[in-house]
Amino acid sequence: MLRKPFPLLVAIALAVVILSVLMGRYPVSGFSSPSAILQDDLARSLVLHLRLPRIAAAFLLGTVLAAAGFVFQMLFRNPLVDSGFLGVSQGAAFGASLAIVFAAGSAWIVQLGAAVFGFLGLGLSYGLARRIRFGGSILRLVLAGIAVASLFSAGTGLLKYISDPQKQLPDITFWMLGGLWNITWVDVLQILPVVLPSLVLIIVMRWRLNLLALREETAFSLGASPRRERLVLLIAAAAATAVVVSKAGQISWVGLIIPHIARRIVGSDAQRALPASLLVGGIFVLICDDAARTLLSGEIPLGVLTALVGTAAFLALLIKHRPGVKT
Amino acid sequence: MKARSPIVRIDQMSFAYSADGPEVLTDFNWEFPQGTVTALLGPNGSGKTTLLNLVLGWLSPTAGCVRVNGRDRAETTRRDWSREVGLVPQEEPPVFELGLLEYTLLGRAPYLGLLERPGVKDRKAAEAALERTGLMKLWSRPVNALSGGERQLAAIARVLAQDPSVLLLDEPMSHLDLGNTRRILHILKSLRRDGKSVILTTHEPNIAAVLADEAVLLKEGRILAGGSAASVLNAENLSATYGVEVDVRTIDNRLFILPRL
Repeated sequence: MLRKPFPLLVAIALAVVILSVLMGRYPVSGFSSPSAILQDDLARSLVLHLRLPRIAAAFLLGTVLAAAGFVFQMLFRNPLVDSGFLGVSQGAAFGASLAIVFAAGSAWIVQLGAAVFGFLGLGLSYGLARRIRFGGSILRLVLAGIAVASLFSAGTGLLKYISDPQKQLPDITFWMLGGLWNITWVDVLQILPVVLPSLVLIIVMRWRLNLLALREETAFSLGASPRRERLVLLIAAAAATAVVVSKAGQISWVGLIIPHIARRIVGSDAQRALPASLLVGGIFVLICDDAARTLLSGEIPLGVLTALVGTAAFLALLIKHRPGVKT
Repeated sequence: MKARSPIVRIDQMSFAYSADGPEVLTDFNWEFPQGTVTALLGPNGSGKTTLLNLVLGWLSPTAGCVRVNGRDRAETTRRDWSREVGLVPQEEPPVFELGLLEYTLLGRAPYLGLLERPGVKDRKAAEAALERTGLMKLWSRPVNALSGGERQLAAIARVLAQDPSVLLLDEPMSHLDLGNTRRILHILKSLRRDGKSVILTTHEPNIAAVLADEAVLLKEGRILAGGSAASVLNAENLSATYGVEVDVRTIDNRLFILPRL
């Protein structure tokens, strides 16, 4: 645990944002000086209209996935889940594939399909959980989530099978690999109305996550309404995830690994670990996206990079440290 | 002992976990007096923990009612109710490594709004609770890293920070060594002196004998015997409750209860 982690995290975040602005292929490959960018009209326009929205989107994507993963882990009392857990990611993938196959695949329809079906994944999981007749409410949600995720995965498989292998199948595959190459300010502004209220709600209610991570009857004995509060927080986390995933595609491992790293840095109290997760998530995805757009001459899919780095970080955590949870 | 006003009153209460399932508690009537320690005894499956959850309000009776301080659970808000009734569950290993002080602070939730976080006053209450349970020196230690006995004391510290009128404890002294058992006995006795009412389940009749003012013996969801601990904890009642021969001896004015071999 670090003694004063937040000033350090904020400083790192600022530094990474600044370096990301200066980093790219134009005016020079690698890092350009601020004056080189300011003096070149094309470079200025490129930074303003392409690089900056992409940086904002990457940082937001990281904060949302990390926050949602953190919320899911606390609410399910399980350190190995993330927001893909209740069929949100699989629903989004299905929605995007559906739009690519049946709606000619224009960008906004794909995004809408992903957002709507991502959110539908959560709704279906919840509805199904209410009909399961055994187990506590958490176990019922887990079982329903597995069923819904699996159903959407099967649906996506079917859509891939019937899709046009020349045009649609590559589109589906690319969407699922995840990336931010098309992001504009319009995209950033479109996700903000959902992402901002969701994040604010999660941040202001973060202390209660400690409470809701207790067994249900204990949380109840402390005055919480565990089921109602859990639903509100899950909706916020799932809505924010569905919206960012609709723009970025499948970005795996962030929601799972970042909360663990944050807990390593500041301890497990959600009051500190949630804000730390937001910052570390933003930094992590932004660095991955910088690598995605600059490492090779072509773009590397962001989802591939987050999975690669995330797995390495996960293994390093498990091998070097205790993971900050009961083993 | 002069009659005290009841703090928890149970009237003709029955409970089943599902509409077509068997009744776990049947036609249950009891008054728990204020400022006393009551021990609930009975074999596994006799309905002790279910009874605690019904008093807690986590479960709702299928018939009859439970009133705490004259009020039904439905007549009051969740937060108000949790200032009245607190719970120490049987075992609750936290999944995430919460520090002991952070864990104890959760007891202050009934005094905080949905968007509020604990302040200085709550921190003082939590620290006082840790002092009282003798855990203050461990305040920064993760709860998972504590021994079983210390974890049990931590759960008690949390309920002390909550400061309810009625404390429900589910097997608070199971798996504890003698030192920790003695610590918890002292804390529970001091709570009685503060006018708090304690209802605890236990598998150990000797704990009931040394601690409780009143004892209720349960079998198959019904009260087999109930009243002052000294009068209820006799060989005949305990044999009927557990279905084995029981020896009860009085040595130096204290009851000792053992199964006959």
